[in-house]
Amino acid sequence: MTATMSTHVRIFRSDPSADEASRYDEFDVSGPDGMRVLDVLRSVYENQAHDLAFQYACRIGRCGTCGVKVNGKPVLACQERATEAMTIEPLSPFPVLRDLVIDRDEVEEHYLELDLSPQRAAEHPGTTDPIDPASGRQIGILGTCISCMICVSGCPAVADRPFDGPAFMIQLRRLADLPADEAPRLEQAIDHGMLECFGCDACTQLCPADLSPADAIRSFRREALLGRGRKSGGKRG
Amino acid sequence: MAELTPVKPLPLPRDTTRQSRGLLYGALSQRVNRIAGLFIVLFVVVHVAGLAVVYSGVLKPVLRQMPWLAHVSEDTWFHVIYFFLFPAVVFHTLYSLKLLVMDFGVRVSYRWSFWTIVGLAVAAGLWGAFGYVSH
Amino acid sequence: MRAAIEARRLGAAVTIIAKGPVRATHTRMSGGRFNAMSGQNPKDNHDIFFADTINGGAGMNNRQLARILTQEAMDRAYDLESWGLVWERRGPDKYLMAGSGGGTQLRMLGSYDEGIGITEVMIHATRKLGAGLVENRMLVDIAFDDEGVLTGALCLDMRHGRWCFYRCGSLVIATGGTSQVYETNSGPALNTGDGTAVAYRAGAELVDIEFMQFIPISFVFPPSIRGYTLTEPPFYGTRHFDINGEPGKLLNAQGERFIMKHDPVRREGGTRDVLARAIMLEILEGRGTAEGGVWLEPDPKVAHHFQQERPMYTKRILENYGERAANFLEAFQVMPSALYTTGGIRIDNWGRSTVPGLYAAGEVTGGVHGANRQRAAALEQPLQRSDGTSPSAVKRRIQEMTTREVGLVRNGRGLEQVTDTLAEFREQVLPRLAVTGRSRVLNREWMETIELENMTAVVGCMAAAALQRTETRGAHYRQDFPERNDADWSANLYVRKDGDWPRVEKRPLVLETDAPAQPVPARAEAGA
Repeated sequence: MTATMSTHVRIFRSDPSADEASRYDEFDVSGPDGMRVLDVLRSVYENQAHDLAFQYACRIGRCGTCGVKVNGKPVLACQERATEAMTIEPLSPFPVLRDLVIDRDEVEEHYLELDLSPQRAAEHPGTTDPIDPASGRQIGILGTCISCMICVSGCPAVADRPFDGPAFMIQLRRLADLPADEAPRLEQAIDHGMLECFGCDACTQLCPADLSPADAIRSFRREALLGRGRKSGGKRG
Repeated sequence: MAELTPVKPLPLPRDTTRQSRGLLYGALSQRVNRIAGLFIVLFVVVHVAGLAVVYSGVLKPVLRQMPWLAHVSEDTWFHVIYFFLFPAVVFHTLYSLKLLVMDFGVRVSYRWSFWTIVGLAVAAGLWGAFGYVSH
Repeated sequence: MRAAIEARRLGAAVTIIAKGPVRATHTRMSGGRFNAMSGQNPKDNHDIFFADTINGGAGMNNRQLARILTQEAMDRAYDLESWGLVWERRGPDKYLMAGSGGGTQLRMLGSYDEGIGITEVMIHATRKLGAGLVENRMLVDIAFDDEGVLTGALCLDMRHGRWCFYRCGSLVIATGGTSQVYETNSGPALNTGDGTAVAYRAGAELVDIEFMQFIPISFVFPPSIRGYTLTEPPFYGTRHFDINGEPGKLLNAQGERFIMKHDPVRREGGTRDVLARAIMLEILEGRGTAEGGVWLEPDPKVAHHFQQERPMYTKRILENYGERAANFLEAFQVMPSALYTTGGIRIDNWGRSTVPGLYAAGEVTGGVHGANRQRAAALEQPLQRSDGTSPSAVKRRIQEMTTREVGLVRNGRGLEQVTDTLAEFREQVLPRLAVTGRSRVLNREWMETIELENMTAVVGCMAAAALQRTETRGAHYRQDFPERNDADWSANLYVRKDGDWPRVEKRPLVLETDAPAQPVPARAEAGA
């Protein structure tokens, strides 16, 4: 692990508030073999471009805030291994606040519209809510979605169709599977563009949490065709 | 010491630290599917137009404007379409069938299915080309 | 967020102000394990839970806060359940409960989605109730009226590069811990002790600030994941399932099982403080690996159990240490890491600090386990300086110093040096910080200059308290006073700002039999 590597990176720079044209700045960075894109960004920030704007927090793939596009593919900067030549851009198709930081307001609006707190028939009784252990685990698996928006960025349908995105379908699926929730999640999914999905599985390939939003959508489609009582999607087997 | 209750071994999770490398199968297959679909539509339109202007009295004025339509199926440039039409139809049909089948719960690997379908489409193209060339 | 939910239920207007994105918290990163009295383990009861808590806290806990925790924890677990979190279970209404480090009975609940699930369900619950939520806004200072009652919070809106002031009747600081003052830490990059420093500058008392919990094992490389917790050695052996089993073994660079020198009875199954110290000493004395760690040798027999129970950890081990390590077929490198700030803002049984109108919750508080002028002008100066020191470089210096002198191995001389160095920082270094980027929008350097003020204040308090405590207890290890001294030190240290420096006061432990602390009057309800 004392081996080192070098990378030549092109980083997208822009400042909408300053009304300047966007550009790509190039940097050379060396670091330990196996370093991640985040390590490269931090090195650029600390040593070369002190005004680089980028987002990160947990560094371990859980907060979902460091999503960027590397060589055209949406990835988590803290997880993606650096390669020798990289172009780093903000996550499309979101509006850019500055450099690599995107505006997530619309994302939060979608989450709010979906009302992702369980709609219970009655108050929680203050004793254990009964759930079959296996179903409970499936719900928990869907709960590992970190809201990183990488699937939304990589989804071909989001860009040109009225589809909110795969991540929102995962959340709807999680609630649909929760026995205590009574809200019409299938209807919500359809209203938010679920039918636009054509099952290409780009989201499944890209998901850093190993989830399959496409499978969650397939569960909804089965439900739409065949009625409730079907097994849910979620983690790939 | 108490015996450990045995646990069924699960496959290891994926290593998702190299996501920017290689192909994004979903995006690629969506694009190919769309191109194939457009190609099929184009072929059908031209082919149908070619037939219609010959057999329909109403479209005689069109035929006068575009006389080449009457024998478009014999023109060599149109035959080129055959090389691409067969692969397009095979890809588009198989891919759509794959989506349908997955909707009903059959698990298909996006990686494996992409290459298989591409392979079959290319084979269909070669078959069509061979058939054309050998006439 | 829990306070926001409750406040909303009671009809208050609430805004949650997050320094970064709302999901960027330490809770998010945590394993989400929850110790509570569900009543499903007949061998367990509130008193045992309480005793375990006190024991785990090396006797320093505020007994009243600890009692509240043990009594109310399960209600909070039900809250999370009502918001959509699913606790893992053996049967439809039988929770799966595990044993935690220091717990003598099985009572620990956990959900598959861990801290991710906890934060997600709470965000949705909070927003459903109509609490406002703003991100990328950093709490910088609080304002008071002439009677010393809190009137509002000054924040830097980093998204737009402008200041904003929130007029409020009550402010709850829940900004997390101070893990970032250490080089190798397991917390999120934002946890630079901002809330602690703001409260301290406002005159609030801090308690137990000398105590920092270190997790004994964490990742060593690559740099981005360095310091991320790998839990504890028992997880990597049969010890996790059987109290008499073997934990994963720790070996130094020479292949020696060094824990036998420190704790031959409990070996790698001992408490975090002893383990972390033992590992740190091996590394400091030159018997660590080239990358600065030691070896953990897991037991292949429990590989599948671990993979099933902690799939997210398995994934990280696979991605960073390889397939053989993930299958427990080879040893991998580990090192101690600063995890959780056990000390912090002193609160009473109702979360009130010693400053009227100021409350605190979570890691920023201490004990379970400020008349100010707005300083906006001074905080703009780094933007105007054209040459000066880079804040990132200064941050690293503070981190190195804190790790060396206020970390796992402390002594009087080193701690005094810290105070001197911080004085120098305050006079020479901080006034010379310069921000090179001209954009006010999302200016990370600007954020770091403010963070440095906070880190300096917090480390000063930690060093002052650590210097006073002339004994070794828990993670606070003094080379010059290596024994635990219950006779003289069954007491807490309280830190308060006195002019420029922290004043440290020793007071007896808060026992259950003590009268509850007098509530500090908050602002009048009307017009809040």
